[in-house]
Amino acid sequence: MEEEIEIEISVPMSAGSLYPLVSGTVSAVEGIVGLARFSTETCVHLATEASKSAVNALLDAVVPVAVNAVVSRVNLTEIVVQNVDINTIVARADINPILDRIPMTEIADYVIEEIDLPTLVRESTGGVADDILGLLRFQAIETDNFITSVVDKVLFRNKTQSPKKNTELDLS
Amino acid sequence: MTSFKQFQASFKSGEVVHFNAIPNRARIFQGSTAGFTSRFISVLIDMALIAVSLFGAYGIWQALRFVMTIFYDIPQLSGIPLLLVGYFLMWAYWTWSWATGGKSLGNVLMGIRVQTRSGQGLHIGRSAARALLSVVFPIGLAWAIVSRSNHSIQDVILRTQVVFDWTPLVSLDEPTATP
Repeated sequence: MEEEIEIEISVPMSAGSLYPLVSGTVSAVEGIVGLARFSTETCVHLATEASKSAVNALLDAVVPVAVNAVVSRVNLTEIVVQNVDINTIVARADINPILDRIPMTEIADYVIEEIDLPTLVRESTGGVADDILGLLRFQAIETDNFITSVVDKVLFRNKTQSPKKNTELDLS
Repeated sequence: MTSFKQFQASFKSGEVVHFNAIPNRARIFQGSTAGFTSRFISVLIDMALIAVSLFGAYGIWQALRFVMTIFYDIPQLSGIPLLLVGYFLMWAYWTWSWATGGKSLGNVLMGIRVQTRSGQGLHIGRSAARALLSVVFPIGLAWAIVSRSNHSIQDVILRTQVVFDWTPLVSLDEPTATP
C-alpha cells in the first residue's frame, strides 16, 4: 500500500466543502422550524388569551344578570335557614374581635339609664328619711298648687301655664 | 323609651355619663319656680337651724360660766341682744349659702335653689343684698302667693328666682344626662 491512489471524483465540490453547505442547510431548516413553532405558539397563545378575555367579558356581563335572575326567584334566606346549621357557624366564629367592636361601656350606661338604676339604688338604700323628705317636698308642692288655684279663683285669673299646675301628682 | 341608638347619639364616645339622680316623678318640676309653701318651710328650717345654733352656743357659754366661775370671771352676755345676733347669723348664713351653690340647708331639704333669672348662681353682692332683704322684710315672701311666677318681693327687686332642684349638692355647671 505504498502507492498513492488518487481517486478523482468528479464532483464539483469536495466532501470537505460540502459540510458548510449541509450545516447551513440544517441550521436554516432549524431556524425555519423554530420560527414556525414560535409563530404557531404565539398564535395559539394569542388566540387562547383572546378567547379567554372574550369569555370573561361575556361571563362578566351575563353572570350577574343570571345570578340576579335566579336569586330574585329564590328565597335565599329560607334556603339558608333550612339547610345551614347557623349555630355551628356561630360556634365557629371568633367571638373576641366581635366583642372588641361592641361599645361595652356605652351599653352599660344605656342599661343603667333605661332601668333607672339611680332610682333603684336610692329606693333600696335611701330608706325612710328620703321617703319622708320626698313626701314633704311633694306635699309642699301640692299645697302650693292648692294655694295657686285658690288665688287664681279669687283674682279671676286664668290658669297659669307653669307645668306643675297642669300635671297630676303621683304620690304613690 | 330611648333606643340604644338614640342614647349613643346623645353622647360622644369616651365621655363620662352623668346620670340623672332625680326621681322620675320629680323631673317635671325640675327648673320650674318653687311656690310659697316650699320656700316658707325652707325658711322655717333655716330659722330653726340658726335658733338651735344660737341657743346652743348661748347655753354652752352659760354652762362654761357656771363651771368656770370659780377660776375666771367670764362676762355675762346680757348686754348683747340675742335677737340681733340671730338676725346677723341668719343674714351671714343665707349670704354664704346662696353665693356658694344657691342652697341653704332648708333649700336642700325642700329641693329648691336660689338663682338669677337667667339661671346663674348668685354673686356674693346680690346674695348679701337678697339675704339682707329677706332678714329685714321676711313678709316679702308672701308676694310669692300672689305672683304668677312665684316671685317674692326680694326676687322682684333683685331679679332672682327660686327653682326646684332636686339634684344633690353639685356645682351649678355640672352637666347632667337628660337624653
